[in-house]
Amino acid sequence: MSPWLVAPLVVTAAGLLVALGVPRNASPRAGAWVLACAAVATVAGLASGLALLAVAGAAQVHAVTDVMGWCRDLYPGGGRFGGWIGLAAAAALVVAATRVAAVIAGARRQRHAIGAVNGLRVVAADGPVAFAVPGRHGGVVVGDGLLSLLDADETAAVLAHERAHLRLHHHRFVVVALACAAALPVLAPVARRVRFATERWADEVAAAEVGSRLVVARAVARAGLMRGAGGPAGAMAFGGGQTVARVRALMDPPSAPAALVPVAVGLAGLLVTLLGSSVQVHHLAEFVASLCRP
Amino acid sequence: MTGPVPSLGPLESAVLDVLWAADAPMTPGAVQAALGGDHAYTTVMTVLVRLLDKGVVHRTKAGRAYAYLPALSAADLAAGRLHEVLGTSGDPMATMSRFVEGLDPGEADALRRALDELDR
Repeated sequence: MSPWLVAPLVVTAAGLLVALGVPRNASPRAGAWVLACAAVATVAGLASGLALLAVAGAAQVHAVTDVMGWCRDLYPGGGRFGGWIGLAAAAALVVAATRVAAVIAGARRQRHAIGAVNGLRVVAADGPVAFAVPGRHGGVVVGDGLLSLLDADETAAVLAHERAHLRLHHHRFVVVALACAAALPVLAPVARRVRFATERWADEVAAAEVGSRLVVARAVARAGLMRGAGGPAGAMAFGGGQTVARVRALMDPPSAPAALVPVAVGLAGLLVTLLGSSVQVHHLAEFVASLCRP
Repeated sequence: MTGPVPSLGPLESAVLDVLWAADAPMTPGAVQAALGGDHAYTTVMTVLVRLLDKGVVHRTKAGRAYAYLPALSAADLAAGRLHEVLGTSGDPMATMSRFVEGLDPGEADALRRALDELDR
């Protein structure tokens, strides 16, 4: 089997690297979309490459071709990738699929554990509890400790931020990115960037609603210091460094239109990733189709 | 509620709902009637004792029988469950995004400096 059949993966990887070049101060909305799509395309390309290896490996094992009715010697003179490589590829696919399923099941379990929120629910909590629960009976959950700390404007900012998450379906971006990172652990930084982008996005929407970016900045900073006091001891926060970055971004003037260039670069990277991935999927489809022609 | 929250099956939840809706402790017979009589008396008794075991209900003497009342409010139960979810989601794969995450070392100082600037 020609190694060129999996060459599009190289293209995909290159595209992903370029897409990662979307700098943090590009529009968070563009960043979230580009990075999430690039992550999905990368996983799709890799999965089809692995599937291709698995099926091609199986097609070279005579026992399998006998049972499945496939033609033998599909690639005359081939056999460069033995059945063992195919087996390893299949195993990798199974592991990746299991990890993706675990992420999705975990998300569902968390939502069920919280139960119906129906718009807004205040709970007894010492730490800065405030998060958005998606779904038909979802809403915003806020801790009473946070409510007593923040003033009226800052509370409005927190609620606007969380409602923005719900309205704009940010949880989809995050779950998709986390699932991609579960399938392909090297994408973990991309998942972090996606989460950061959705937080910045919600911050800006809240700032527009409340009428002041500084009020949102203050709310984030004060909530962050509350978390700092009582957070999980010693554990490196997943969102490490993001709180300060969000506050600083809100205190700085909004991104100038010059951000178009990094966005264009990011989009170009995304297109390359999608191209490489779709070629890979195409190769897989062609190969599988050719199996059934004696 | 500080301990781990017991998970409740559908019948246990239904019985607890009945107890919450009442304004006085209820005997098993009263609970059975409130559930529409679809369940055997012994079934309802079993569920109540199981809830007692889990610490979710108390019981008091009512004449010669026992009457049951909830030990937790609905809000407490929900909050307890929430704390569990929040507790387990200190991990990187948490899909529920919180308003702020835990801080890096040194981030707290940076935040205080930023607040000083904001409050000026």
